[in-house]
Amino acid sequence: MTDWPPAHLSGVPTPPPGAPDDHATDAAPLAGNQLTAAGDLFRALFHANPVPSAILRLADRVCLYANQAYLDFYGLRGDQLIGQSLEDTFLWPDPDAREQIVATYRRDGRLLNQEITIRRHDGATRTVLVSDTPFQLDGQACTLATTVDITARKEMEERIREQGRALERLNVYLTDAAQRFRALFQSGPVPSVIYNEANDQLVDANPLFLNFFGLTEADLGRAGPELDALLDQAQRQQLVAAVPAADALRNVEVGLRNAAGEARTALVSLVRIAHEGQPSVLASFIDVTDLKQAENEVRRLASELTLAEQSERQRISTILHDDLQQRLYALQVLVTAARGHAEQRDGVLGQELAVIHNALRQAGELTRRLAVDLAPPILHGENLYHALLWLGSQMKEQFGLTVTVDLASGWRPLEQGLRIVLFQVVRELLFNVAKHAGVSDVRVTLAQRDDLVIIQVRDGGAGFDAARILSDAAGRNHGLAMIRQRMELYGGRLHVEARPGLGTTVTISVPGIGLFAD
Amino acid sequence: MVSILLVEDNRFVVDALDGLLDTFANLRITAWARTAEEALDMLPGVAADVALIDLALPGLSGIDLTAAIRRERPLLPCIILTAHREDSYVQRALAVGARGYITKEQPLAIIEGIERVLAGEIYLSEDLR
Repeated sequence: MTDWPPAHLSGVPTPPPGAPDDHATDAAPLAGNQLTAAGDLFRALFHANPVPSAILRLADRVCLYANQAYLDFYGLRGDQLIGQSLEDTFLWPDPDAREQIVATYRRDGRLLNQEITIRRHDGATRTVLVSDTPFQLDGQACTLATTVDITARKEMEERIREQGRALERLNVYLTDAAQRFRALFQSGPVPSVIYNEANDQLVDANPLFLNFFGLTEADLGRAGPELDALLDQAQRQQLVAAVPAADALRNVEVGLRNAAGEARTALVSLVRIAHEGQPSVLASFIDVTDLKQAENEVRRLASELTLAEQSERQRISTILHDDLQQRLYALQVLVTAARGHAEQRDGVLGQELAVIHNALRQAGELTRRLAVDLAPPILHGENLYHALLWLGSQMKEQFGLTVTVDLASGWRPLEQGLRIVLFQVVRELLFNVAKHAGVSDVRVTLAQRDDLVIIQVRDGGAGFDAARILSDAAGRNHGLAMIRQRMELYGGRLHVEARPGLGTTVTISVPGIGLFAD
Repeated sequence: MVSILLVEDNRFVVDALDGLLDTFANLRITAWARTAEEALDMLPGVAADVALIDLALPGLSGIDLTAAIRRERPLLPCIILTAHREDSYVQRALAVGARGYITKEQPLAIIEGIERVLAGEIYLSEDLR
């Protein structure tokens, strides 16, 4: 005979009074032995079962037996459960669910995997499947109650459902994004194309691109030499190679030929993308031919304006030098001769003539300086470097300012209009140094890099608040602001690096394209 | 008497110099040309002891003319007379063989300059020294 409950199930109390005594039977020995064996098997299975299980008396739902899994799951000791009504033991977070369970049991006479939420003894809420299977035990109506904890499964299912919803949202987003990209690509305001770098092939193009080059959608898929008519292979490879990995290249100037065979200038922007899993480049461009032509026209007009202005200066300078200055000199000579005669006869007249002579000399000097300032003679037929050397000698003479001029190698002569305006700009900057910097020397550097003419005027003097001078409304008429405006007409820039007490470096950079003399 | 070939395009200056030289010294303008080209044309027949040359002339400059005279009449000393005081002009004039460089500053410097050049010196106006 095996004791109920088995000895190894410690904590499982003795069945309460009235619980069936499965050993107190008077069945025939053979049948009794078989029944005893079946009972032992049932007990062993009951206690070894990993599914929390309990046997309840139906009449009062008092727990007669519970296996260890049941006690562990609900966090109870045997004495807290055995002999207690489950009505007193369980906490039902949802009273309605309890009513539903009872109703189902009454209706079906059993429960099978009914999902409910219970609160355990430790307060934790769990989702479980409960089953109640009625059976007779020693003539008493009992039920075998099992509990399967599906909390983790439910949580996993919820996570899967949430991931599913996230995937669905992502899919919607991606679909929308793809549609938006497609709409933007097709209706974008600039010609755009997707180019497969690996096989040198046009993959997609918007209508503006097709129109620009006189292509149709049937031309998509063209590759290799067929694309040379649009942009030759060397240029294509050079452009694409210039795009950093996973990055973009913006506004690179290239020459293109449109459907009518006209040479056009465009600013190309490229970005690396994956297109249908292939490494590709999205390229778009803006035709800036008209803008460039307008800029060139502005520069040409600015140059013409400079030449016209200089021509007028030259005309006035010539009058001053060739006529007025010479007349003043002639008068000076005549007065000198008159002095010679007068001093022999009348000392007072001689003194008065000396005064007139001095006045004429000063007038002559003023005229000479004005003529030189208006039209430096060195500007005619000389290059900018020599003109600036001459300007340096003038600065030394007038202000005691030593000007060092450095000329980088490879200097190409400039067109006269640009040369004159740069000369005037440097002269203005040197005047500023002489008047405000408080230094006795300054360095001017001339260089040409690619198509840019770069001139730097650097002093170690008093400096100033460049940002204020160049941005304030008050600075609008300042010499530097005017230089900047003048340079901008030539497509150039003025950069000032200056701080009070730390000197000043002014850098002028201006495109020399079309304005080089050769 | 010292004979002078004057190359000057301004008639007022020519007349004034003529009066000055006549007043103060035994110097005479015996030949006058308005341009360098005109001076070169008359050069073979001119009897002059010194050439007084304006720097800024229409056409060839006074410096160009000096260089040409040095080639054709190496014994005829040339003096530049000008309003330009820049070093670069002075250097270039001396480099092509001018014996004097006189600015239109003090008229009497012309007389001193001619005398010193004829004495074999190289003469620069006082304001250039």
